[in-house]
Amino acid sequence: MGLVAAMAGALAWLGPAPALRVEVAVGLAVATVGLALGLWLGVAAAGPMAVALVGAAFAVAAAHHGVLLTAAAPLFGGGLLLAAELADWSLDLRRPARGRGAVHERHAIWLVAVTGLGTALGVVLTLAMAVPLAGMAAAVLGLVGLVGGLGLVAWLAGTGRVPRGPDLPRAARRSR
Amino acid sequence: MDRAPTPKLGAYAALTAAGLLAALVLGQPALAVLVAPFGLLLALGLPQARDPGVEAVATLGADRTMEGDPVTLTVTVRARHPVARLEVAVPLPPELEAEDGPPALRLRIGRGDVGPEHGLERALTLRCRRWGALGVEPVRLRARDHFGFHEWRAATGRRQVLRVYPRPAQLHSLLLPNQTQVHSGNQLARQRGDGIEFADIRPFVPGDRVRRVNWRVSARRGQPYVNQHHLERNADVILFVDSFAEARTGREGTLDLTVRLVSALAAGHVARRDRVGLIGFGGILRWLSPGMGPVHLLRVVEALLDTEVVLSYAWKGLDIIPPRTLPPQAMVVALTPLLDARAIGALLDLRARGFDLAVVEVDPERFVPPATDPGDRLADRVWHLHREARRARLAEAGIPIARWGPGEPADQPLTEIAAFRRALRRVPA
Repeated sequence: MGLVAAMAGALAWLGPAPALRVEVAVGLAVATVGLALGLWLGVAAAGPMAVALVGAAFAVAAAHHGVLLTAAAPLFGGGLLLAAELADWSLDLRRPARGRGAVHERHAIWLVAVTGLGTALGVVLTLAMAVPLAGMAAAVLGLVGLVGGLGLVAWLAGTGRVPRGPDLPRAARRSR
Repeated sequence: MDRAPTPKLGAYAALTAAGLLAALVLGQPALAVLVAPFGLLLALGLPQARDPGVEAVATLGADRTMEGDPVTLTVTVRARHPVARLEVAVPLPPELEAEDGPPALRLRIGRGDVGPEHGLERALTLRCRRWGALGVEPVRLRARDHFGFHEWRAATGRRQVLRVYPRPAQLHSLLLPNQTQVHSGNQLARQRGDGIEFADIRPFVPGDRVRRVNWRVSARRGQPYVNQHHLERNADVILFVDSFAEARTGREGTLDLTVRLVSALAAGHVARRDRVGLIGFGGILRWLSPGMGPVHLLRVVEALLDTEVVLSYAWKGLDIIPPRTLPPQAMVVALTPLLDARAIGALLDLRARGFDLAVVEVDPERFVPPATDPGDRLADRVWHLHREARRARLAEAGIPIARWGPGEPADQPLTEIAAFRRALRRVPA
């Protein structure tokens, strides 16, 4: 599912931004292979790492072509979020369990809603950055977000990420 | 419940921070737009994380069952708050298998299912693959919030033990003991006295009851004769289980066959009002003094459930067995795969002490894969010769021995032993 989402995100973006097509396509291909490998091995960080790789390819392409802002960025961001979420879900589903249809339906609806919200936020930010003063406000907001994000990373590094409670038995864990 | 952030939270936070940092440093606002959805998810998800307070109880439909029978396991889940994704897994021993899927549930607890009086119930059907005292551990829970940023884990409930009784082998006949005891039972004793089965006639002596007089013989011989009858007594039967070693392939091994036959023998002898005792002779010595009745049969079967092969290098002889476990004139039926010299030594010692002994060899050779290369074939031959020598030692000591393997009727070794014992009686001393 993660791979499908990555492809969907790529298609969504590659259409309206032809200038960045080659670099991002290369990054996307590498990320897709990495994501496939990570999902096959069951690596939890495979989704975010693939997203980071594609994001880096986008940054390089944008810097190379001197593109500051494109209308495709919100769509691309939404696609990346969808890819990361679907990769996480696919890993979650690999644990054998008797699921109920409602669990998956609700999660799918939630996923669509979150992706839509994220894309909408991207659109709002893109539009806001076109206004000079609003761009300054967005920069301040980004700075606050940066501080918050770094603080969160530092807190997680301090507390440790591994849950300490009893894990599920081997029979109920993911099997390759 | 124990709460911990998931790797996803760290990854999203790092992605957001890196994207925003790169946007500021490189002057690329598009990067900030790219990571904005991830930041939005963090902003929405972090304040919503709260302990769902989930508790789950697994209840077995029965605490005793037979090997191969199904048992229902009902899992009841309660929560204080709604849970987006909840995994409920029941740790099962390998002898218990869940039918129609894994022993884990993936649930969502909605607002309507929340509260102390509400409980989601799910039933799993378990199949008991092997006998034994099987422990079902407390239920493991793993709950995640909507955003998957936090995970709660817990183990709730209590450990339960399911006692799975072995399915006894089908037996149509039992071994007859050479000597009986003093209590009344269903065995015909050699001694004569009050009974039903006719034994002999003898001349009348003062004190004989008139109803015992055999009038036909008395009329023919001209003096009174009385009938004599066999006493009906019970016997002491000791079931000797060699648990030093076993041969096993997959789900079945010599110990499983042994336990099934011992279970059938115990049931048969208890039904004949014999006193049945049990000796588990192996790495761990287990014993049960002889007793009779259905309650004692249950004790024997319960004791069998704890039988297991425990590796031990300590030399063990008959002297470690409590004397009351081996009453005089008891018939000892030993079941052994003939894999350990200590058990064979104990059997020879029993014979030397004058016990009425019969040995059923639970054949381990059926559980050994066929040798393929020359080295394996040579080792296989040596092993077979070694086993032949052990059998010969027992036979030379006058111990009846019969082989029994998987798929063979359980009556077969008993019939062979009975024939051996009849042949022994015919041989002049």
